[in-house]
Amino acid sequence: MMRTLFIKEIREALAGRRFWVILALCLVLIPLGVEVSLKDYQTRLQNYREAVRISQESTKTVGDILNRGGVKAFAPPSPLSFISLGLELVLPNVAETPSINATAPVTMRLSNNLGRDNLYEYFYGPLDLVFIVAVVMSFLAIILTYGAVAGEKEQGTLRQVLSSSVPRAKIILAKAAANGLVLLVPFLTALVLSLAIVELQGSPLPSIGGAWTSVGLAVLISVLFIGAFFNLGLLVSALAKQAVPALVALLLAWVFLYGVYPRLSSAAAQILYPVTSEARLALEKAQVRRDIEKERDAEIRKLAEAMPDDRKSEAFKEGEKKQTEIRGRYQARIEERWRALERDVERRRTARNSLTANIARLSPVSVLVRPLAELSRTGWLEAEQFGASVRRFEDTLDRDIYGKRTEVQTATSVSVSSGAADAAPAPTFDDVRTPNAAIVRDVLPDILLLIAFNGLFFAGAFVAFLRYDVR
Amino acid sequence: MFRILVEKEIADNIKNYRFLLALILCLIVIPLGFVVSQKDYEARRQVYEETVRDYDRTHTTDLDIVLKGGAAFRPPSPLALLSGGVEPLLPTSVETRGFTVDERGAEVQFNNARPIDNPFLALFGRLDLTFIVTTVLAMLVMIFTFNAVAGEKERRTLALVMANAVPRPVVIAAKMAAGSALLAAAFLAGTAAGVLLTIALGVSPFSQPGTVLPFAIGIGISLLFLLVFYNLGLLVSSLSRSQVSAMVSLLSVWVALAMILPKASVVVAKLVRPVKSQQVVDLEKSRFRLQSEADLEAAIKRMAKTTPIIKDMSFDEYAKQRRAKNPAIQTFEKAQTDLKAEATARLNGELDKIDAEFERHRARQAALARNLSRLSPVSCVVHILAELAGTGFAEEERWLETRAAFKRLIDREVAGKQHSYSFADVTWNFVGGLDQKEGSAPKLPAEGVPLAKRLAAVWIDVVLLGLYGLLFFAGAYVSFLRYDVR
Repeated sequence: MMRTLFIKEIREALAGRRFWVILALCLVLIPLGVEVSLKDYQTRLQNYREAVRISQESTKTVGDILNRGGVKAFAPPSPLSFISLGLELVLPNVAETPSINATAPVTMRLSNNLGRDNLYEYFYGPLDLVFIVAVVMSFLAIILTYGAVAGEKEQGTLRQVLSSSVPRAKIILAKAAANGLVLLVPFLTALVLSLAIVELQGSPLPSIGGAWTSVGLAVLISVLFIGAFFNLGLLVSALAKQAVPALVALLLAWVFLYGVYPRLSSAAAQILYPVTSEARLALEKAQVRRDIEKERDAEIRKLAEAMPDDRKSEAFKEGEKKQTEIRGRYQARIEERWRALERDVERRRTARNSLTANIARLSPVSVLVRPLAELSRTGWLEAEQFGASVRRFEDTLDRDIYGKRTEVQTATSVSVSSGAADAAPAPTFDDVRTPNAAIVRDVLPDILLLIAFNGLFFAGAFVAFLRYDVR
Repeated sequence: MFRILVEKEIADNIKNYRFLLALILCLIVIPLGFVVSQKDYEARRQVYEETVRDYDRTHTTDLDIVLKGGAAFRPPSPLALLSGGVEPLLPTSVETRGFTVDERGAEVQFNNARPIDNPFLALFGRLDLTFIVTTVLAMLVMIFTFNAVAGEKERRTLALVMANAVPRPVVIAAKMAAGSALLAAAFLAGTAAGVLLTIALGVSPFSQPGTVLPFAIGIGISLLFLLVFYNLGLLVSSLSRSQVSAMVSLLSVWVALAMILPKASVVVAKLVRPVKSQQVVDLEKSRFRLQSEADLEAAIKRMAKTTPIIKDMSFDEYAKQRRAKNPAIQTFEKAQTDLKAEATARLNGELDKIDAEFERHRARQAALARNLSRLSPVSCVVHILAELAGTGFAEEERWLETRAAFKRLIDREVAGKQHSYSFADVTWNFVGGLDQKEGSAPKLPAEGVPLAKRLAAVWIDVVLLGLYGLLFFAGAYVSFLRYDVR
């Protein structure tokens, strides 16, 4: 019985235009989106390589860093950005030391150099997979389902079907299975075709570890998301008496879940849990540095007034040692105060981000958008990882270069020495990418939540259908 | 007759709760969007003001600019509640870094620091008026219009109306007038509530001068878009036989106009008119600059080796004769100055040529993307609102001008007052010309793009929006006139 109903639904879909329209849309949009996104990625990759090459050529030695205006570190673009461009255009991808006379503790400025090249993409939004799934596929799910039950109620066909000895559970299951296939087969076909094109063109995916796991998880999340909207459509259709109110209700639900709620959740968390901005933190750190250095300079001045200019004298050597000790002490104080400020902001920001993610998770759209960005290495985790790599690089620069700087002041002179060996090779930036396991751990709750959304909506549709009063 | 029909349509829309739904949505979403945007703006403005104060405190003399670098900061847009636009991608300032301003001019670059405090805001998008108008209001328009004609056809009530002596143009005009007036009322109520709420919470969008008029124009443009989309809804409804097919068609048209077409226009423009990236151009310029410096250095060394008297001098002798103001050395140093001026002029000319060539190609690509996207009324309204908010492409262009203006200022006030002369591997730098007085550091005042210029950038979009409105209404009108009652 179930098989007969299933075949009937499939035949109906194939005989009508719906399946073919969905197939055509998927076959045009998905490969086009993937191809365009990959071309953009390749341009960004070329630029990245060129930037790294030129930067490395101009800073081969410690002397180059000290005399040529510092050092730069770059984050590579993500080859998975065709899944979601995410925050790639806005999150930092370049770190640079502030100026030619940087002193320890050095702070690298984080910026993004992709903005001017991608203004229109940002303005209109990219044609990546997450857009196709979140907008096009969710709309198609709504269009496929709004009339699945309500339409048959309205036309009176459901009454006829139910008057025969067909179990209700089998009817709704057959409808769900058949229409689900009609929606998913074109999507998966187009996706497989797109990935095959990627492979044939010389896939950039193996350049990062666990890329195929990420692609697999992204496909799973996309399918679960489409399923969630599909089941929501079935639920609303089973609850409505007519097809038109079902469609209107679904449209309103889509606007709320896609557009309004995720936007509000980030704003609500910002208002509920305010966090010091990065710009303000930078100002506070600069002020801390100025205040402490003022104290340090006063203490050194007092000491310097009693120091002779004769570098060979015992008093000079003693004073030099004391000054080095004072500078070290004050540098440690600056670092300690900075770390305390950073820790506080970091703690609050992590708490706020977690609050936002949890509030936003009530919408399946948020549960799709954020994990897909993380899986594509264009999300917050990757940005944090770059930030951590930069902090490690700052420590290396302090240890090997800026921390070796010595400055000795006497009553009449100041002598400065970089202390670092100019000919020594420049330290290299070690950009560690987010481990795949960390990303999988991060997106796991979202996968479970999407399964729960599917279960909840389908159970609702099932119960509503069982409770339908034919009279 | 017209009045009676309008009253009937209004009563219909009020009775079936559509107006109530629109009013509730507008009264919730618009004030929320306004408050959230304004709170975000206030936080960014405070940081901007503190940054400028901090800069002013630490950069008081010309010498500070040479040692620490200089900057001109971009204030955040006070009307970002209209549209977030491309503001997150705009530079936070133009700057010169420490020790990069010398007699050959300043090296000025954009500061693209991206302190992202709320990644979710960037990931999910902003709840600005542009989103509300093009998505939430567009959906409401669909709900108002999908069955305006198709529903009456299906229920056969249109046949009854047509059987009376009611002119068809009056019927369709009344439908348009009543529905759009109700939606406009809901939208204006939401906007008024939003403005009042922001004022009550102390985050008024009008706290900055020159914001009232662009805001009012933005609201006017939003109303015009509402009318255009309403007419499109009527057109689709008139062409459809059933309300369900009208709704599905409208939805598809909205996805195509609001999402697919603008994105596709960028794709096509990139494929048809590819352009180098800004990063590559910057690197080319940087390489050119380094090459020019190396060439100049070599030329000075060559000159030192070939100039009579100088070529035979040791370093100590040169330093001694220099102090003694030997005329041969003065002539040699004058020749160095001329060589540097010539090399600087040549370098600047080449760099300007690279920039101009790049900007020309970039403008051609942008124009293609822009013109293709104008096929969609949604793109037109999105562009207009972004320019009115000061977060659009006119603002981006202004920062190119600001970069040039800042370079001119620093070249004139700081770089031009320095001199250096080289002999062997030693360079004497003279910064005596620099003003050491407190408050002498040159400063570029922050200036927004004048409203007239911003409007000039989008006048074509306004005209197109009007034309789309007329076209859609004419289509709806003709299709309604051609409707066969039988």
